Order: sequence, then C-alpha cells, then structure tokens
Amino acid sequence: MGILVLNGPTWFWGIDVIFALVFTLVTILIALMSFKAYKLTKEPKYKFFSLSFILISLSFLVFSIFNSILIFHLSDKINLLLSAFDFAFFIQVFLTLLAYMILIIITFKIKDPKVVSLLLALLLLFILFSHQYTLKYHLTSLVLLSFLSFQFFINYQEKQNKNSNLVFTSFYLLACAELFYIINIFTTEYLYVVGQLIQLLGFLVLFYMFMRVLHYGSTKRKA
Amino acid sequence: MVARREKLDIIKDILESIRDKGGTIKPTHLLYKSNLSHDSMKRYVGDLIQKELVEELEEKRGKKYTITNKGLKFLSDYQQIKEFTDSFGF
Repeated sequence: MGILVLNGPTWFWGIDVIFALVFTLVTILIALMSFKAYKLTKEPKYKFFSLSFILISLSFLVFSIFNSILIFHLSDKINLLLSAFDFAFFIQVFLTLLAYMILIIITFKIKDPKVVSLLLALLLLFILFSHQYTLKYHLTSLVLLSFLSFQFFINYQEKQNKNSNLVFTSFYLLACAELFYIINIFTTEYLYVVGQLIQLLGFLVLFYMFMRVLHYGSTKRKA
Repeated sequence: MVARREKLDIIKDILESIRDKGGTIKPTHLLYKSNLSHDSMKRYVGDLIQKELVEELEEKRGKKYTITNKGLKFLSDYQQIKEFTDSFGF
C-alpha cells in the first residue's frame, strides 16, 4: 500500500497542510460554540454535535501532522511505517466518517438506539474491512455530506435566513469537493487542488456563519 | 398547530419573566407568565436553581424566585446560541 495521505501535485504538498490547519481551526470554533450550547441547555444533541466537529478537527490535525512529517522528512521511522501501512489515512478515515455519521444521526433526529447502533456498526465494518480506501472513503463522504446538505437545505427553506443558507452552502461545497476528490482518482491529480479549493471555500463559508453568530451576540449585548 | 417550545426557549421565557418583573417573581406569577403546567414549572425552576441561574428566597409572604448574575448572562448568551442552533436546524 502506498502513502495515501500524500495527494495531488508535488508543488501543492504543504499548501494542503495549511488548508487542513484552517479546517482544524474552523471546526474547533464550531465545536466550542456547540459545547457552549450544551453547557447552557445540557441537551445531549449539542454535546454530540460538538463531538462530531472535534472528530473532524482531529482528522485534519492528523492529516497535517503526518503530511508535515512526510514532506519535511521529520522522521524516517514514521516514513517507513507509513510506507508499510498508512495508518494516518486509516485514522483520518475513521475520524471523519464517524463524525459525519454522528452529524447524520443528530441532524435527522434518529433516536432509536437500535438504528443508531446499526448505522455505527455498518460504518465500523466498512472502515475495518475495506479495500480501495481512497475511493470508498470519498464516496461515503460524498453520500453522507449530500444527505446533510439536503437536510440543511430543508432547514434553510423553513427558516429563510442567511445563516441557515450559509450552513447549507458550506455543506453543499464540502460535498462538491468530495466529488472532485473522486474524479481525481481516475483522472488528473490537479482535480485534487480544485477539490481542496472548494473545501476551503466551504469551511470559510462556515467560518463566516460563525462570525455572524458571534457578532449577532455581541451587538445584542451592547443593545 | 402551535410549535412545541424547545427546552432552550422555555428556560429563556422563565428567566425573562423573572428579569422583566424587576429580578424577583412569585411562583404564581411565574406559572402564569411561563405558560407551563405546575409540574413542568417546578421541574424547570428546580433545574435552574441547580444550575445557579435562579435563586429561591423564603420570605414572610411566601416563596419567591430571583434571577442570578449567571441567569442574566444566560439571557445575553441565549440569542447567540439560538442563532447558532437555528442555523443548523436544531
């Protein structure tokens, strides 16, 4: 198995690490805001929402750390280990898909523990017994993110406000990025760069929504 | 059909009722203002006392509830949290 955490043209190596650090920061901010909601209400859904964003954040952090080690040759031992078995990518897949599944469970308000167990068991089976990791990882991410985008679109139609539109747009862009990652596997590696740029845009939209919420709170307090 | 109030909204309504009455309110007034059943109100107020958002005062004329500084901060944070949770459809 090759090293799966390294993607795209060589000139882009390192730039995607910076992108991943931006994604880490944005997802941590969302997780913190959700944890604040949990602290105020003690409603478990906010705790799990926060957990899912922490998992996404950790996933990007793992990507950043191991990519940096590989690009800057920081550890020969880890280079050798990753060449034998790319555990960094395995961890990234596990964290991301688990996070998306938790988001699906919360957003679709799935409360039956049997259904929740079934979804998590299927996900675990997929992660443990999978070949063609990259393709299946991005395909599963595309499906999960598409469902989330659809649900956020319904929410936007109900609420008709800018922030819900931004959340929908952000997840729609994240789903589109996955589509480019999939096409990239079969065609040119430059599509990975396009996917990364779309993903960056998606997270920046989410960050803009976060800033609007923060600003809204502060202006209300001043009023 | 009237939409069911979320827990967050009920907490906000209770705290706002106390604040708007000058910071202290009688249980009967709170029951009327919060639009809850007696049992629900007792449960919510008990929860708010435990979280130190509200304090219970025993006076000669009976029991009263007072909003704490933590409760006032909750109200200012509420709009922000509401805006955030609404954006995701919670």
